[in-house]
Amino acid sequence: MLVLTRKLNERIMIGDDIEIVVVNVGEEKVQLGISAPRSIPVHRREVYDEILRENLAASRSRLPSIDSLCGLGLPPSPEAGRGRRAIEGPSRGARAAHDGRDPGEGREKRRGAR
Amino acid sequence: MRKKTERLKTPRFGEIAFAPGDLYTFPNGLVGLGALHRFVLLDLDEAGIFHCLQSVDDPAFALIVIDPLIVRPDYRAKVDDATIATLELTDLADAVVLAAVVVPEDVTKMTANLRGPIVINMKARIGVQVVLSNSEFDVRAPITDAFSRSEEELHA
Repeated sequence: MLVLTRKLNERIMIGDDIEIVVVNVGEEKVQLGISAPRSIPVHRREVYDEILRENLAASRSRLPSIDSLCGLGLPPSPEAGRGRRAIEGPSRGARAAHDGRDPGEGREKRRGAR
Repeated sequence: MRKKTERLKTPRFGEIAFAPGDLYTFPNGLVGLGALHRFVLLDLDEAGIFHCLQSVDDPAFALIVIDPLIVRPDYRAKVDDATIATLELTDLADAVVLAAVVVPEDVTKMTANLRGPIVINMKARIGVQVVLSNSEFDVRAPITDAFSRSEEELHA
C-alpha cells in the first residue's frame, strides 16, 4: 500500500479526476474531502461492507412463501406508502453552508466532478 | 403492452420473459456489485408487497425488495445532488424507493435494509443504491414488527 504524508489542506490526486484533501486533523479523527466523478461511488468502508453483505444475504434468501407470510399478519394495505414519499432531496440551505462536504451530513460524502 | 422478446433463465424463477423496455439501468451497479447494471422488477405476491429486483447480468442474483414505508412509516431516504443527477431525476415524485429484504430460516426474523435503499427513477428507468450514512435507519430493520404493528393499528 502506498503511504503518503500530507498536511492540513494538502491534496492527493488519484488518476485525473479523483482528488482527496485533508480538511481537518483532530486528535483521533481526520476529515477528508473527496472529489470524484459521479460514476465513482464513495463510501465509508465499514458501511460499504455492511451494505454489500446485506445485498449478498438478500440475494441468497429463499423466497418467502405466501403461506408463511400470511401467518405474520401482512400490512393491512400494500398501498401503505402510496401518496407518501420515501425520498427526500438535499436541503439547499444546509448544503450551501458547508459546500456539501460535511461528513456529518446524513449521507455518504460524495460530490460529482462538475 | 411491450413485446416480451427477451428470455432469461434464472435459478429462482425459471425462465422469465421481458421486453427490452422493461429493463432498469443501474449505472453504478449495486454497492459492492458494480458489474450488475441491468435489472427487471418482478411482482412476487398478489398483494403487491414483495417484489424482486432480478439481475439480468447475473441471473443468479436477485434481491427481494419491499416498500420501506411498510417497515417504517416515517422512513425517508435523503439523496444528494449527485444521486439525483445519476438518476436523471427532475421530479422526486417519479422516484420509487425499495429496501432489500433478507429472509432467514425463521421467517419471523425477516429484515429489510433501510440503510442502503434502492432508488429508481421509474420514468427514466434508472436505479441507484444509496448509502445513508449517519442514518437512524438500520441495515437489518425487523419487518415482522411492522406487520404486527400494522395489524394492531388495523384493530385499534
